[in-house]
Amino acid sequence: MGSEILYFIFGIGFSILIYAVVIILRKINLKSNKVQKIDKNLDQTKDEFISFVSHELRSPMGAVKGLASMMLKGDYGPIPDRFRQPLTNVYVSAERQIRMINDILNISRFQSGRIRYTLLNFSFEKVTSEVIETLQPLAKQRRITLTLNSDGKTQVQGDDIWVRQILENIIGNAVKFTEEGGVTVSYKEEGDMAFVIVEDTGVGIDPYNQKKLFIKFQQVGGSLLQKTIGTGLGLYISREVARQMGGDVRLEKSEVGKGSTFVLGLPKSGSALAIETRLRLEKEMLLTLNNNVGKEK
Amino acid sequence: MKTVLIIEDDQIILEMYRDKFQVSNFGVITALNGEDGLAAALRHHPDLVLLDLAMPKMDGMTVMQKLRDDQWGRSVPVIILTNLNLDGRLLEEIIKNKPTYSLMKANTTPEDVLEKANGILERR
Repeated sequence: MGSEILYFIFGIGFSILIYAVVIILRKINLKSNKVQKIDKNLDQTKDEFISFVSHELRSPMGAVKGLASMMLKGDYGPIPDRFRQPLTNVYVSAERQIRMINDILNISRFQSGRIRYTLLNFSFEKVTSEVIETLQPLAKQRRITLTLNSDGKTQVQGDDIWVRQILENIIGNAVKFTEEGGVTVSYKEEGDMAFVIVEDTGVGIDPYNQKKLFIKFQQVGGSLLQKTIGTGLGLYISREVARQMGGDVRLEKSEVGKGSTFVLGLPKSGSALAIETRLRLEKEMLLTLNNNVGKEK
Repeated sequence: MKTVLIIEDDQIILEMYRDKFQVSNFGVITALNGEDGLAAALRHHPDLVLLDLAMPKMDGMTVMQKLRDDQWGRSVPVIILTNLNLDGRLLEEIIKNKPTYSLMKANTTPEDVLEKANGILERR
């Protein structure tokens, strides 16, 4: 009899325990659903905020840059010579501001997996020569040479718009940080990869700053380099995006006072690496559906 | 003379593109919102449409959808000019309506847009 009562009490106790566990688990589940919902709402708010910022900050700067470019081109009639330099400064400043906005937004897009890629096959030569052409005025202004010294007809796979931006960043930095001599761009191939090599005779980077190069929001110090204002995001984004496309951006070598060599590598078209990259991006749903749209020049 | 319709709610940007295309001997029609823009497109049948996305009354996406539902509008070249990042759902929606090209306004100059427009019109 005594043992039956004990079993009975134990049974009730066990049932209460199970019931309590179920209640607690349900509460935890409800809480976790609530947290998920809040997270989702936060993500949505963040997306909307970024959308708003991208639109509202870029629009007025775009107008400043566009109008300055039209005045410089003479679309509003001839401009006096003394206005040419100040107007160029307006244009350059607006462009710099837009680049900073783009860099900051790209970080956010990259981190939340919103950047999509349109993988095309193209030759490095085509994109590189276009980038060099746009940077020639800056090189001339700085009285340094900017030359392309070999053929890069090998077809590579990548998103040509992003590749252009990466090259603008690497070659642009080389031009900005070179006071004497020049910047030479060449190509090489190795296994499944083809490379653009950007070599300058600039200020060079010391070992301490080399470590900071590809870290977010890190700017290389030093009196000369500090003259160039930026977000410190260009190389970080460039490398992350290149890696997503199956490639890489790296500092090959650098010596203070002698110069630096940066390389951008991408998978050769049709190589095993190119196919693997395409499959990975497809799986991660990071490919665009169309080749023309979604490209932001 | 080729005619371009510019649908853009920012008056300053609208005038900037208007001036660029007028200087380059285009006929220019302008609209400050999507609703007026769509009506102007269907009335005047321009050779090319420059279309902003974020606009009052009717957004650019709806203008595109309605244009593509129209017999004439089905094939009119449309250049989307936006400062929005075309990501995710927005991008998929845009692709459905087959724009000819999309450009980030802040990353281009009116000269780039004019070149793109001339290229599109030459190929037609």
